[in-house]
Amino acid sequence: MSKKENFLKGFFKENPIFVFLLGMCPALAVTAVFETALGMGLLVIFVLTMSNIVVSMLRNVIPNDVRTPAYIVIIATFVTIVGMVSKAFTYDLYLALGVFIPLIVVNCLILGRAESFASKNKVLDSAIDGFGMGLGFTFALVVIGVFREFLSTGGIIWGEFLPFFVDQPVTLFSLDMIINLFNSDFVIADYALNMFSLAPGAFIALGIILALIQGKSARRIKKEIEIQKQRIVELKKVALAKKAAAAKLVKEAA
Amino acid sequence: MLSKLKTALVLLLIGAVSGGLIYIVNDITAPIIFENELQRKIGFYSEIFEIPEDQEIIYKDCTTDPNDLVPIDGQLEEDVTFEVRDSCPEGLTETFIYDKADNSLIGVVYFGNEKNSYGEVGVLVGINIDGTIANVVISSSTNTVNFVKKIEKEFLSPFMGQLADPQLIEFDSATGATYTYGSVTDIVNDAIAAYNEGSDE
Repeated sequence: MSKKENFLKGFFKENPIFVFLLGMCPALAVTAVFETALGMGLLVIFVLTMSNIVVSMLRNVIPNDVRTPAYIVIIATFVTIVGMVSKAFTYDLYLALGVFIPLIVVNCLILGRAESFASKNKVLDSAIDGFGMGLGFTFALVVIGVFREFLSTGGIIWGEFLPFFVDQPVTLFSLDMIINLFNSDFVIADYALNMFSLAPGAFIALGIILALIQGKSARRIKKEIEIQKQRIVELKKVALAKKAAAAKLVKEAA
Repeated sequence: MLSKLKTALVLLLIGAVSGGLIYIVNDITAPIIFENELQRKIGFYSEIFEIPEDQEIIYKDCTTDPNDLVPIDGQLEEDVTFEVRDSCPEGLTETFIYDKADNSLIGVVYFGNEKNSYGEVGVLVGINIDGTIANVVISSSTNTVNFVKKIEKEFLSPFMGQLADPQLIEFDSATGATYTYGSVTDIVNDAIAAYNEGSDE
């Protein structure tokens, strides 16, 4: 596998959430708004990349029979660090994510990558794998977050939990902006589906997104099967034509 | 034997390096975290007593080291009906809020934390100097979010303005979020008891 393939596999082909359904706990719990989803994703990228690097560095040193507790200690160290750093520099995000920051330790994606990839591969490859998988995880969280926030509020807000680039929260996008061009009294929040900010909404949103992805994937597979079938039919036709030609030759020779 | 020693040594090294890293990061972030928590605390106090943003406040609580107390001039003595205790009331933290401009007492805040079947609830109960409840705020919670939101939205405001008297305080009987509201009422009751005990002393 090339380095590019190693990096990109986490986005679509082996996406932790959309394909392997790993790390579903944060995918459901912290994606009510786009910002918390992105924040959790960034923390996971750091933990996953760093733990993959350290596990890969120590892969020949850690005895096999204690590898899992050793990996857990390494992961827990980085989770503790991101917990402290987020508490110091993104305090609102820390409060919003709450217990889900320490729970990164038991995110099966992180231990899974340490066990299945980092413990068997070189440091650079492990770092690329961790970073790519982390980005894929973040991408999935952000997709769910945007979907849920948009449906539950009618817009997307930036600056409430991640205090970067803006002093006050700003609306990145809202349907109000478009509809108010025609009707000034319209408030999208009155028509938003609040359910999507709640726990049942998380399951429904994830279900819809997974259905869309699986639907697309199923169509692609169906198309591939059709192409393969056509190819087989063509090959059969060619084989039959060859057989017929051979039979004709035999007949003529006789 | 040697392999076991190696295993122990490796685990010891990993633990030691982890501990060292956490120590360094903690050393860097601790002052910033302390400042963040302080600002959050002041934010809660401002919310409870509806203190304008430009007004500065001083607070001191029963957990503060007596040597760290902000000196209060004689004017305060006339306004204060009871003094800061040496120890906290049982299960609560008692905090006195003062206006920094003239050191006058604004009110008292009691913080209590209670465990229930859904987790923990941390509640701040603010009492004005006239003995009425200024506000009740849920500052932290691991209870079901919807129940907490429901209580915050509908069942905390009725406390505002009620006299902090165990005989007169009124609670709602049907909230639909019994555990969360039960913890809130327990802490409000404890706060009122502590306030009255403090006043008597």
